[in-house]
Formats: sequence, structure tokens, C-alpha cells
Amino acid sequence: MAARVVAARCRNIYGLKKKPHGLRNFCSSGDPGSVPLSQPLPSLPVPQYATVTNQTYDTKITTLENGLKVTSENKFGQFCTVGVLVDSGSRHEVAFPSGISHFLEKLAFNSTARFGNRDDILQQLEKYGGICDCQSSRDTIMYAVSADRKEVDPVVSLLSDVVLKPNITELEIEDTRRAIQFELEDLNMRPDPEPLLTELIHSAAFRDNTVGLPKLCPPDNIHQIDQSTLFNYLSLHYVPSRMVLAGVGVKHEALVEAANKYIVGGNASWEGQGRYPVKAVDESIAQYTGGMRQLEKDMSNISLGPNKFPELTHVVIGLESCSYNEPDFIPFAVLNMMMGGGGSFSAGGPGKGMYTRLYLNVLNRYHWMYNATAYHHSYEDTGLFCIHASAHPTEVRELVGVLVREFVRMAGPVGGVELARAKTQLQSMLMMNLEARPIVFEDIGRQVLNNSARKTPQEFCNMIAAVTEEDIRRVARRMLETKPSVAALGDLRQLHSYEDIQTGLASRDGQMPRRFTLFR
Amino acid sequence: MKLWISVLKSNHIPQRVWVLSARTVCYQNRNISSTHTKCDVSNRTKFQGIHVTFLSANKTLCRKLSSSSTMSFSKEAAIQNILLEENKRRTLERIPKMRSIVTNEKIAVGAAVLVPLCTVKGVPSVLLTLRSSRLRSHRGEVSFPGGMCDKTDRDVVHTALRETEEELGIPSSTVDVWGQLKPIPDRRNTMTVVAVLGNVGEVDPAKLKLSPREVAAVFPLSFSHLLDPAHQRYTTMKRRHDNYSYTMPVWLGGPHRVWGLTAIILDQVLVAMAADWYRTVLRSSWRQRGDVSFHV
Repeated sequence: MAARVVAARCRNIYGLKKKPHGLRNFCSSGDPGSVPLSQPLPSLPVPQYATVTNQTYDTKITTLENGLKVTSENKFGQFCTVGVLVDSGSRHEVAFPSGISHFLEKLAFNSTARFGNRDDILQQLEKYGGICDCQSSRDTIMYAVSADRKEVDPVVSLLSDVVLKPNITELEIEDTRRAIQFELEDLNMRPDPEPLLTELIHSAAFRDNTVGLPKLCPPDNIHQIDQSTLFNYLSLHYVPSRMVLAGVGVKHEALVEAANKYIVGGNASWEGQGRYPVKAVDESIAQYTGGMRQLEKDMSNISLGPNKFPELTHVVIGLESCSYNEPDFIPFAVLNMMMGGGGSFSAGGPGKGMYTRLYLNVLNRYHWMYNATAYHHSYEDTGLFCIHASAHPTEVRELVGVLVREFVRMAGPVGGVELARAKTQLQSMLMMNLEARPIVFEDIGRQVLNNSARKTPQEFCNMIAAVTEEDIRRVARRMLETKPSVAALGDLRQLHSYEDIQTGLASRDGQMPRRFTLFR
Repeated sequence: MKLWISVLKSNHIPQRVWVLSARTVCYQNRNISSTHTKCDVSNRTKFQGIHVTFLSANKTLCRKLSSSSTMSFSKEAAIQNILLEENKRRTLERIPKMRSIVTNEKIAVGAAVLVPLCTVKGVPSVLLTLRSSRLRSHRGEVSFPGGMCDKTDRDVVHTALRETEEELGIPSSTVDVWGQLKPIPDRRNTMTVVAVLGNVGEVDPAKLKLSPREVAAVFPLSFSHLLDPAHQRYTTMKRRHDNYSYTMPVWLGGPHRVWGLTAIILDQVLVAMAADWYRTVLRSSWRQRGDVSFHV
């Protein structure tokens, strides 16, 4: 339109009749709607589109002679992620003061035999454009470095130093103690008590054993843990047979060669320090016990800013599911996706799960429910399926009734559309997440650590596609026969007793036993 | 492998001898008793003048010894004969010598269970039940038939037999009662449970008349399954408030996992009946503040 005006003005000013050449033919004569989209623009180069190749990289696994497993998957990109995963976590701490894994996570990438302090390590990594991180969970601890893919050798050398030769000086331990104290205070003051609730429900479901042991260091133990305790723990658990060196974006031969050079042989920093009191690794199998844990807490004034945060009571109800090695793990994952849920203030939208059962049947129907989310925690020998919900303390009775009804309905009829939607969502979530390099790293590392083999995403997609309605109902029935675990945080005056919740979950329709109370 | 040995010399003064390996024990004893050329893990084996007891459990030792070829024949033979008169006599002799687990002497016996020793298609087994999900306590868990002691019961054996008849339909007259184990406390330490050993003969679990209100299913676990180290696991628990730790056995591989008080009873039954092939897993200790070590 503007071009037309300019062209007309040009003609008027110079009295020339401008001959429209190639390009302007399209834009100046006639309106923009007449530009054909089926022909290429004349004077531009012909585009070359990328084609989909069938190139998939396999995950390669090698076991070295000292028991260390090396696994890698090549991937397109400029960077690689290399790391060490160790079969050690809060579940192995029964013979030690709980909280060692918390300490080790904070103490990672500090001074070692070769590096004076954390700054030296970070400076060294900067040369390779690298970053490093350590993450610990209840059964695994992961040390990872992402750097330029040409620098696999120095990265593996750095990792071997960090994992096997840390100094753990008294100063570093002091700093870690302060950091942990701060973290615990921060957790108690947060409006969102998610980590606290996870601790509580695990402690309720697996009373006093393995996975139920605290992952966050209990305040009493902060000053009990010192260098000799840590070295004792490390000497038992950081052995090559319990470790996996995983790499994504690297060539497998290069990784194996680097592992042989830097990790095989050599002494760890805790060897030769004399005899340690604890001499054997704890090989306990996880025991699901069920039970209730309550934490009375005044949540009426937890907002840190001027705006008031609503006072909420949080309740988590959980049942035993299965380990990730069992074939029933996939139906449980689909069930988790089908229940979905989230916060009531979520904006919703595609992929957020707004058609999941906890949204449709719970959050959309009961305005007083602030959030309702389904979680599935799965470990090597056990699993926990739980739903976390929160509401104002006066609504707790209703809240528990709603949750119990939803649990019992899981064993009821399943709609075809909702099942298909849950399966598709799970498959797409799996594939979309595995496009990110750090997630592929964690996936291959964890799978090889636990099973010495890696199932490809395609295999998982096939297993998900094979889930039927009967599978879902069967795993829900299996779950409902186990003893419930309940964790509650906040003002708990209206909370049902554990026996009532147990009776409600065992009933055919999910109705809680009626109790007549005069005081509400 | 190191073992503590309590050596009772002929004048019956016990002396502790620190021995470097099991083989050394054998060599030492060869002079005294020439008939035993391999190291026997048995409690009851008496070398002349020397009674060897292993005071500290060494699971690897037991597994290594029991898996060597000279031992496996005798283990299978022992399991085949486990319900015969000879073993019944040995079991009843062993029970009074077993360590009592009760820590609080004041609590009374509140319940009794029957440990149904049986043969299923000729295979010596133990019968276990899956509690109905309609029960109020311990629903869906694996247990032995039994229940709380009634005032009208003559003794604990009567309780066990009565409950077994109600739950499984096995008449009391068909049960050959061997004896009772020492009482075992429940988790809250409020009462003890007495396990009664009884041989119920050949049983077809499918043909038993179960009481649906109390029993959801009944299944046998053979002694060879229970004594296979691959099926034996343990769980060590650590109480939060006082750091008291205790280890309990778990049996896997069957239709249902056996844990809790039922597993403790099974553990004591195996110690009584198959001491040569089973080492108890029960352990407990207090951990003081600042003291990291305890016996696992």
C-alpha cells in the first residue's frame, strides 16, 4: 500500500513511468493478497531444507575390570555432559548419622588433591566452557560436568579427582554446616512446603528404614558429622563396582580410554586412614510399612512479604506402588499422568494437564481446594503413589473425603479418551524431555547403574502404548490393598484418624466412616 | 575370615580363641577327631572336648560353606528329613537353648499362632496365610494362622489350634504339635506372641476351607525356598527418637513378601529346625550420640 503511494509519487515527480522489475512486481502492483505463495521469489537463492535422517546413536556400555561401568551415547551438538553416578544415598545411612548425603552434596567440587578450592575448579572448567553440578537423591548421587565436547579427557580427570580424592577439610565442613542450617531454616519458612512434605510422606510410608530415612540432615546431626564419619561412609560406598561413568555427546572409545587412565588404579583420599568403625554396606531391602506422620505447625502467618498468604493445611495420602523394575511400573506411570493435578491458580493450557482427573473432578469442583497433585516415587525395590492436597484448616475433613473417593475411583471404570490422553501425554513428555542433553545423561546413567542395561525411549513408548484399561484397574486394586500412608502439616484439628482413613480406602465407594461431632 | 570361638576344654573353662580362618579350625581339630575332615557349621557338632560355637555371624562364611559341593547334598538331604522324628527331637532340644528376644519381662502373652509344618506334594513346607482386607488390623499382610488368647482357652496351644481350625479348616486332632517357641514381643512391646510348631501332614492348599472373613489366601513356602540365600534379605530400621536400630529378616520370591513379626517367627523356626543351614538375621543395638559404630 505504501509502496504504491511512493511509486505513484515517483511517477508524478519525475514524470517517468517506472517499469516494475521482478521483485516490485509482487509488492507494488495490486494488493498484497495477490502474491502467490506457490512460487519461489525470483531473485532469492533456492532454500535447502534439512531432511530427517535415520541416524540414531546407540547407548554403549562397557564394564571395566575394576567393576566400573562406562556408558555413553553420542549426540549432535557442541557440548557434552560427562558425569559419575554412585549408588549411594540417604537410604544407605542406617549405620551412620542421617544427613551424610546432604553433606556430600554440598561438599562436592571443593578442594581435592589437585585443586586448592572450588574457585580453582571453576576456573579450570571455564577454559572448556564448562559448568559442574552435584545432585543427590534418596538412592543415587550424581556429579556432572557439561563442557566442550573436545575436552573429554581433562573433564574425566577432574571428575575422578572430585569424586575419589576430595580433601574435605575442617573449614569446608564448617561452611557446609552453616549452609545446611540456613537451608533448613529456609525450608521451614517457605510458603510452599513441598520438600518437607516429601520427607514426611516417605517417613510415614517407610517407617524408620531405607527410603524413609531423612534425606535432609536432621538438625541434631549437623554437628555430629565430621571428616572421619564422611570418610568412613565414602570408603564403603564410593567403590568402582557401585559407580557408573556416563557421557552424552562423546565417543565411547574416548570415554573408556579416559576412564582407564584416570579412574582405574590410583588411591582415593580416604584409603590408608586407619580402620573405620562401620565395615559393611547396608543392603537392607526397603520395607513399606504405612502409617501416619503429623506435624502441627502454625501456618497462619508465613508470608515473608506484605501480602498475606492463605493459611493452608497440607495432607498427603499415599499407597504402595511398585519398583521401576516391575512390569507394573508403566501402568502406574500412566495412572499418575491420568490423575495429574496441580495448583488451582495454574493458568492451564496445553500440556499442563487441565483435563486430568484431579483438575476435572477435584480442583474444578471444589473452590476451596488450593492444589491437588499426584506423585509417583519409584525405587529399586518399592514405590509410593501419593496425592498431595491443601486447603484451609476448616476444610480438612472434606479434603480427606475427596482424596479417599478419588483413590477408590481409580479402581473404577476408566474412560477411553482419558486413558488415550494420559498415554499420549506420557509418551510426549518422555520424548520431549529426552531431547535435552543433561536429561539423556541422567537417564542412561541411572538405568545402567540400576539395571546394567538401557531401555531406549522407543521401547518405553511401546510399553506405554500397550497399557489397557484393565491394567490401570488392576494396578489401582493392587495399590488399594496396601496400608495407607498419611502425612499432614499445619493446623490438624479437623483431620480424621488414621483408622478412619484406612476404613475409607477399604470401602467400596470411598465413603469415609461417619462421625458425628458437635464441634466443627 | 575371622571367627570367635568359645573353646570349652575338658575342665569346662571357656576360653576365647581368635582363629584366622575356618580351615585352621579344621586342622586344629583333626588331631582330636579324625572323622570330621570338613568344617561343620553346626552348633551341635561336638569335637572331642571342644564345643565350637560361632558367636559372631559371618554371612559370607555360611554362604560359602553351604554352597560348596560337599555340603549341598547334605543340605538337600537335611531338608527332605526336616519333618521326621529325628529332627523333631533335635528341634525340641534346641528350643530351650535359643536366646530369648523379649526385652521387657513384664509383658504377658497375648496371642498365639500355629506354624503349620506340612508337605505339599511331598515337599516339606510351611503354610502361610494372607490376611483378608476386611480385617481391621494388619489387612493384606502375610501371617500365620492364629489370634488373640481367649479366656476360655486352656493354653496357648489350644488358642493356636482353635484359630487354625476357624481360619483354615484344619481339625485340631490332625495336628501333631511339636512344641512352642519362646515368646516374641510385638512391635509396640505391649504383649508377646507364642508360635506353636505343629505338623499338619500332607496338605493341598487349594482344598482347604478358608474363612473368607479372616483369610484371603493361603500359600506354602518350601523349606528349600526359605533356606535359599537368594530369597533371604533383611531390613535394618533405625528409630528416629532414640537411635535404636534393629534388623529384621525378609523373604522374597514367593507369591507374597514375608516381613514383620511373621518373618521374625519364621526366622526363629528356622534357627530351631535347621540351625546347620540358617543363621539368624535378628540384631539390635543402641547407638549413642557421637558413636558411629554398631553391629550390622
